[in-house]
Amino acid sequence: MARLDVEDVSVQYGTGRNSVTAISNVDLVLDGSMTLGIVGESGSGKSTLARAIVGLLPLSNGLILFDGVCLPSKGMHGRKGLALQMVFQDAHSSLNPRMTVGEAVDEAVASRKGRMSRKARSAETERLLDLVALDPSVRERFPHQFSGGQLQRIAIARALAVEPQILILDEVTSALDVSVQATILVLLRELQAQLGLGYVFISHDLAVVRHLSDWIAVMYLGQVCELADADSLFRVPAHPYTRSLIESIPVIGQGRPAKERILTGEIPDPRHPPAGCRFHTRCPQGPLTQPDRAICCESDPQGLLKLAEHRVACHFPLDRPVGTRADVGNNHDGHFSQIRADTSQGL
Amino acid sequence: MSAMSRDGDTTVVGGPLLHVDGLTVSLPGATGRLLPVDSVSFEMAAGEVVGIVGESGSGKTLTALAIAQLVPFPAQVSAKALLFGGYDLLTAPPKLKRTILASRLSMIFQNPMASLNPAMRIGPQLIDGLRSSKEFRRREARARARHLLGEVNIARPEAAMRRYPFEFSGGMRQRAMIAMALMAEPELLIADEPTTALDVTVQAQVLEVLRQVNREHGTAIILISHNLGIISEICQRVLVMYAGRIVEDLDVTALATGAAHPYTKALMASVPSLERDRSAPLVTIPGRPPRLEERLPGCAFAPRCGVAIAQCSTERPELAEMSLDHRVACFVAIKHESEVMSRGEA
Repeated sequence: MARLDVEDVSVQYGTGRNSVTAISNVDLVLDGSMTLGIVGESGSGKSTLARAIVGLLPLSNGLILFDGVCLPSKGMHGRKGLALQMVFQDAHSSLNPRMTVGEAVDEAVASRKGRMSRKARSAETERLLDLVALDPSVRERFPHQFSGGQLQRIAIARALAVEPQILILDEVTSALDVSVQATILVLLRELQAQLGLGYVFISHDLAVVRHLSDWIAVMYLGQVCELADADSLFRVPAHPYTRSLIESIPVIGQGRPAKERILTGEIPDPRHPPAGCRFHTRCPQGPLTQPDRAICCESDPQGLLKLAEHRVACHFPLDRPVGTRADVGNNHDGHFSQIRADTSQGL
Repeated sequence: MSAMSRDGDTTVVGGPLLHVDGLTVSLPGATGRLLPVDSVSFEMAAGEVVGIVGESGSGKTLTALAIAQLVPFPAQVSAKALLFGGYDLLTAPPKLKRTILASRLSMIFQNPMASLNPAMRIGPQLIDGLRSSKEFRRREARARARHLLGEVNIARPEAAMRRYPFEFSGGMRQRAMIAMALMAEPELLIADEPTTALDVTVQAQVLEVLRQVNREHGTAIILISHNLGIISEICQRVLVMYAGRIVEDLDVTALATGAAHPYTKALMASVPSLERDRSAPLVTIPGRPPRLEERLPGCAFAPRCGVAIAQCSTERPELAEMSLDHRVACFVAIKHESEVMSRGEA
């Protein structure tokens, strides 16, 4: 079983006065065949995190461990990195327009370790296309001859060609129509059951993330503000941002949320993140509405630990989540041991 | 419906704000005319909020463009009737039509940056738009622009008017577009996927502004979206489109439980929801929508439909009244309904 540890990772774009810290001090764990969902608005650092994990961006701080082995913090991950594969939102631009689909998948198969005969490779390509429910006859066709959903299947087949253990899926269904999205989500679940893959599933759509994920990390302005198993996150969101996010999703047959429930403002400029809690400028429970909560403007709640499995970076978390510990089996023990557990601070 | 007057008399007093009958958009194709919008008929009352939902290629945007007379060449628009605010848009002289559309109908699009002039400050853009269609003093127009920017929740409207579009965030741009659309006090606002490019929290803000506009100005809104959740939040009625036709027209309150067309049902079941059991598999619709060149003799959804009967692939179902405020284009649904009705009577 593969295990991915993201420890205290920060990524910086640019240097000096123009530098932007896109993600700061992110701790996450993906253990075995499960799905870690990452949600957040644009600018929250979701995609930066994905790129950092697969080695497309250099880390300015922290470690990425695969099965306990540290991956190089600068440059590509090399052979070991093949076990981590990424699928992007726009499958069309990640395929070579002048290569047939068969060639594209074949090329990916060829980068596997060890020599393979042309015949074996071709058989393998066929098997991969079959795995993503595409007819082998599509091999001779070019990317422009496919629909968006089919292209995404091809991109997934290509990612699977090097026998990865973990797939990083960055907004893979965002550009698709809902009915096509459903087929991709069904496929992803099947593949996970069949191949025992671990997924890091990134999306701005909470309902989609909830559907697919076992664990969900909510990101805001480059930091993880809440991490919980999918059910408790939606049942008892403890961070005010998570709650606002959930409440702003339109639900069929429920009418509008109360006006005062709608979050005001927009995500601040990441070059000048607010001091203290990064969410305090918009927080409905924070100093905006309750002047006595000045601590939110002064002290960064990152690192506050509430329950071992339900992590919240907030000085005044909402209703205490119930039963989180009991819901989680022993196999998840020690997941968040690396969190700086200064729980007393500010509480 | 064909009794609607088309005899050069361009004004019809009373009646609905918008009356669309048999609206068709056709494109020249290699094997004949292609119909991305095919005989769409519906009515809208003043102040009503109607949603149009459908997947890409279903013709929802083209329907709106056809109403606003913005369909680009070589596409052609034809209809049995197209009445807006008492005017017949099909027969109105071009100059009159332009005045009607510029002052009484506004449209906002998905990408506000493409609709705003990047080299012009926000204020003048709002003012020029208004002064080109209505007689307005510059000062009055300015005051109105300031007022409307405040109304769409843009902080410090006076300062905002001096800024360029690039200085605005995505949500602010879209709200500025709504303010611009409201400048001429239109009776109908068509919003084409206005929140698709926005984050959920910003989307909630924009939807709130749209709802406020409808409530305070009584502006009728056509909201086009692929997201049924958004539609159900602010619309009163929803038109479901598939392959260029309206397949169902129903009250939003009935959407969750009373949808009758198999496509509407499948569409709702294929979206992951916040309530449903996470482990339950999603419903997928087999196959894909027909291409424009494929003109099926029967129902366009029949090849993908789980409940299709023989009649579905030979005969085209027309939009028929199923109950009050509920029209559906499906033989199976209508048959089922009439069976229930007759059983109830017996």
